[in-house]
Amino acid sequence: MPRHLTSRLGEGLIAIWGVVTIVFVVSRMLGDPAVLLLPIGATEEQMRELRTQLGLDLPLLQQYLSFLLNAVKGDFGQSFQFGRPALSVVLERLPATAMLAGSALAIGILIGGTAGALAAIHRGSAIEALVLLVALLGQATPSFWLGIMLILLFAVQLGWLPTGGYGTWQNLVLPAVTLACFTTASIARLLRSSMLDVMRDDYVRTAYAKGLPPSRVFTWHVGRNSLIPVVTMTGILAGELLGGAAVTETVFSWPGVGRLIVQAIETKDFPVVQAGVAVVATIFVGVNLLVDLLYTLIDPRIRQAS
Amino acid sequence: MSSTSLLPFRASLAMRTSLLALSLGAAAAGPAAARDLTIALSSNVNTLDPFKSTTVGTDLSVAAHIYTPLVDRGPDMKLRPGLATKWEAVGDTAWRFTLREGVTFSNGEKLDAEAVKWNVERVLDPKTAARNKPWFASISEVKVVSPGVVEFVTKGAYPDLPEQMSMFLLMPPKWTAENNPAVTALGSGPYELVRFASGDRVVLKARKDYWGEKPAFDNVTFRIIPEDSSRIAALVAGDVDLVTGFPTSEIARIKASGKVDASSVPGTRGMFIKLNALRAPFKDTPKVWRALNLAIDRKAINDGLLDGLGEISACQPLSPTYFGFNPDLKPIAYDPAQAKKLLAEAGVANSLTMELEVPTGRYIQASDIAQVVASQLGEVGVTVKLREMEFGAFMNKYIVGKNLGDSAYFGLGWPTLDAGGLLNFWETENPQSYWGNANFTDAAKAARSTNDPAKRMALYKTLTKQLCEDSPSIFLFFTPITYGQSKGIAWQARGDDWVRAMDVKTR
Amino acid sequence: MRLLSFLRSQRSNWLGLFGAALLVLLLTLAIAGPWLGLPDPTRGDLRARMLAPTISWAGLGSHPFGTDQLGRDILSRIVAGSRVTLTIAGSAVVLGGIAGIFLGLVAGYFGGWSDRLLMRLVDIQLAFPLMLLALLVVAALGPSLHNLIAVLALTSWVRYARIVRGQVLTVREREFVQAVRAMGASHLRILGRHILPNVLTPALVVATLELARTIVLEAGLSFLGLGIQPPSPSWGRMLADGRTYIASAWWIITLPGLALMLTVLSVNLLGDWLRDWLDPHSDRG
Repeated sequence: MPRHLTSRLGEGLIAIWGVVTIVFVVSRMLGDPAVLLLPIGATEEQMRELRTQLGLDLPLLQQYLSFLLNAVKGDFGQSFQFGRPALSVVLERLPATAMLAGSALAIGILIGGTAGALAAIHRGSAIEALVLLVALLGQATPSFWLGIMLILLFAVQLGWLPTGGYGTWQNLVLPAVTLACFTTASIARLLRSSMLDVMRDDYVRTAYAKGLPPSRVFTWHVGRNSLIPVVTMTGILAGELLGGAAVTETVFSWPGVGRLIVQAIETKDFPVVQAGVAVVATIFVGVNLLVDLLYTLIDPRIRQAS
Repeated sequence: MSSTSLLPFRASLAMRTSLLALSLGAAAAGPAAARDLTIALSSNVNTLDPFKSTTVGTDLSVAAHIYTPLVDRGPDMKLRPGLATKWEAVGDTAWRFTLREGVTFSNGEKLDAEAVKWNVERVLDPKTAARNKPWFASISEVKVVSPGVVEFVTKGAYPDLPEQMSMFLLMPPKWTAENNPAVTALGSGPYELVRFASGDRVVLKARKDYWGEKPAFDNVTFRIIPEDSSRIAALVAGDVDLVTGFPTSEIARIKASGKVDASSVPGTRGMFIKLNALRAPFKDTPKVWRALNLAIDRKAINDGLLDGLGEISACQPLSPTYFGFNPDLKPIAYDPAQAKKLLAEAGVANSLTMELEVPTGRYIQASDIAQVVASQLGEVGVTVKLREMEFGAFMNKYIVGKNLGDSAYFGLGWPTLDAGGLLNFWETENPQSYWGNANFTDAAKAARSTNDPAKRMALYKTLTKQLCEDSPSIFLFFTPITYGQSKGIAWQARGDDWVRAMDVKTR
Repeated sequence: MRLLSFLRSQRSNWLGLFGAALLVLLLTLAIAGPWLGLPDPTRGDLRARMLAPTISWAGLGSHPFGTDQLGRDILSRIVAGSRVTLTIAGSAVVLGGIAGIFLGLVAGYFGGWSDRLLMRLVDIQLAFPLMLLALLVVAALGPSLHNLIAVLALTSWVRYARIVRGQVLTVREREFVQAVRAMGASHLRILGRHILPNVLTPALVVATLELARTIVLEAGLSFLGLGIQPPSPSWGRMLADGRTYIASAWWIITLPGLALMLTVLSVNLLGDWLRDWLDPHSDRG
């Protein structure tokens, strides 16, 4: 098992390296930051001087190598816009993002899991059709439309919750629900179909044939085994929730990493783009290592195999 | 000025508690209006360091509560004394400012001529990598005449230096050396920093010992709300008191909510279509330039898309607010028949195809306006291909790449509200000119070489006239600055980008 | 043995049929759009801005779905938008599918370093949030139609590649493949004639799900200001442009939004049904 985990760790590091390399290269294609940092009317000489200050006049390969060397040490350079270390700008936003992503994931697992299990148990009934339909609608709703609608209803019309911002639990409710919409639907659909698959498996039939009580078959055999794809999915969703929540964060003025990266792309703040994506990728890899660990706990076959 | 009479007492730290009681008493005795103000900003506040940003609408507006400039521009767009009580040109290459006596930063550092000199040197020092350096780069020397008098010697004339000084927020030398001004702030302004949570909010509170006029609000919070519809929702729901920058059509709707007010003021940023006169199809084709100018129905766009709240350009990049505005010029009248005739004379009847580049996320309703422009040009037989691009990508292509497409929808304002800064952009050598005209360039240079208002005014008249007659750019209108506010406050709305609590009163 | 009979019972597939019917209707509308006699979707009338929908029991009226902020007919824009949206999403799904199937086939069949390389690429792609990758690339290349399609394809190849690779790994060891290999068939022939047909079914299922996801992602890109160029309408762009007016003219954003939701819904229903029908024992990861 340790060997298995070490090789997963190595693969994860390769993935992070790949991501930061892509970010580095594509960022450089965004154009020149100096023109946005200086006021309109700045002379070419002034722009050149600033580029030198920011280290953008060096050969690209040299920039890349020093970026990699420093990144390993956790130094992503000074942000062009914020005037302080890019990594600290990103880490400052991480609690907000983690809170939002965590809440959305919790809602997704709780509601999506319950709905998915209900749909599988009541296979062929109106309950299943209803769960499927609602889940599909949930996946089909653009999050910004849903978000704005929720603001208009719960914040403006009813006045129950704030329109946006960050601070109290009331601020968290609407963005978490908006972000959870897609996650919940995905988990419900996945759990349903994976439970149906497992119920068809031979060993479940055997368990019934042996005369085990249905409740025990469900929780022990079906429940456990159908969790595996859901756990995999959760690992993948975690990455999307952390970095891909930019739209929800914008609608609800939530100071998260996603919106920070989007802003950094717009303003060509390369260090922040690089640090932001690197942090998200690292968390993603970490979460998926945890998922790997979870597998071995859930599925005895994997434990034996490794 | 009851607050100034308290000043001597406030110097003592021991007195603080009793003073707090005093000021609380004063607040209770005063008008019962709210003393908290929340302002929504549409973009993030990235830094509090006034030298590391040139974004007036966010970073500089917030910093202006904590730091003060030598000269202040009031909501009426007129200059008024700030830290300097008076200023005068000394010949064509120097300006002399007399400083207010006895002003200190809130940590006690003196704000005298030496401090001013230190600030200018910090901007000019390449190691600072100051973003506002281009505004002050032509200052060659700062002379400390006396502790209360400072003189700026400039390379050549700098006629709008006092106006520019209204954007020069002064920092305390010792404190700046010991702190990171990107995340913390300490100045001589009416407010002090309570909390800076980047991406979320900046919280300020009024300084008790401020030397100037006491602001109307004790606590000011700037909240970052990037999404237009969310910003309006926040205002209507009572979460914020002041929002700006939304489509004009929403004014009526916001008012209809009955809970808040909305209105607009004409802005100082002129929108126009820049033709690339350095290459085909617009190289040496003044008839085509003129035809395009005639083919656009500015009034229809203003009435249709901006509810008539924009100010149609009088055939020049300047609005009446600017020094150098030419009152003799009138907007170009809509005349599609004449436009077609000119296009036919130029041999491009129904055959001209042009790209129109539109930077996104920057100018109000840009995409909509560009689409209407395209369809109006379509009426006279010109095919317009719209090319929307993200603002940064556009600027890179336009300024760094020197590779403007056939034309672009673009906006220009000059923070000093002076013709000089704006007209420079049409000089041949300017990388943003995309038009070569020796006469214009010579006259513009002459105007730049004197501080004499009368001489400058005369030269600007000929410059704007020539720009109008040659028409290498299609001047459209000055888009309005829309704003909404809660019923308890009155913002002295202004056409530049400053958003300051000092311009807000209770009512 | 209630559960066994439960297991044996036929899956209800009326939802799938409903999805298929809806999609056929949408495709018909998209294809027949130009001949329906609707107003020009790109032509506005500033005097007729933001007119409310005129559809009622009495009839359609002049602008059944109202007009947008430039006075353009929303019904004709939704119809025209269906073409644009389905073209973007469809092309992206096909392109991503071709790339993903090819990579999955090669990696699964040959194994070894090609497989290890693919799996590392998959890891990289998964660790990169799709929205940010799409945004970064569109911002770097500019939001033209081709770039949008390329970027959306870039975000979708990975799902095909994983499914196809897994499928190839099992098919490769089956007797008939072993048999033709023993007979000396070339790799190309084995891949093309014997393995490819076996992976197309799961790939088709992935394609439907990707189509749905791509349509929603395009809307998200439009929201962040990197949508398709005007004046050609895509649903995502219509939604994004209409959002500021949501409280004063709800129909500008809501009606294209409903069109988008219905489409994504029907594509997903169809995908689910396809999966159940074609491949009842597939792994649903």
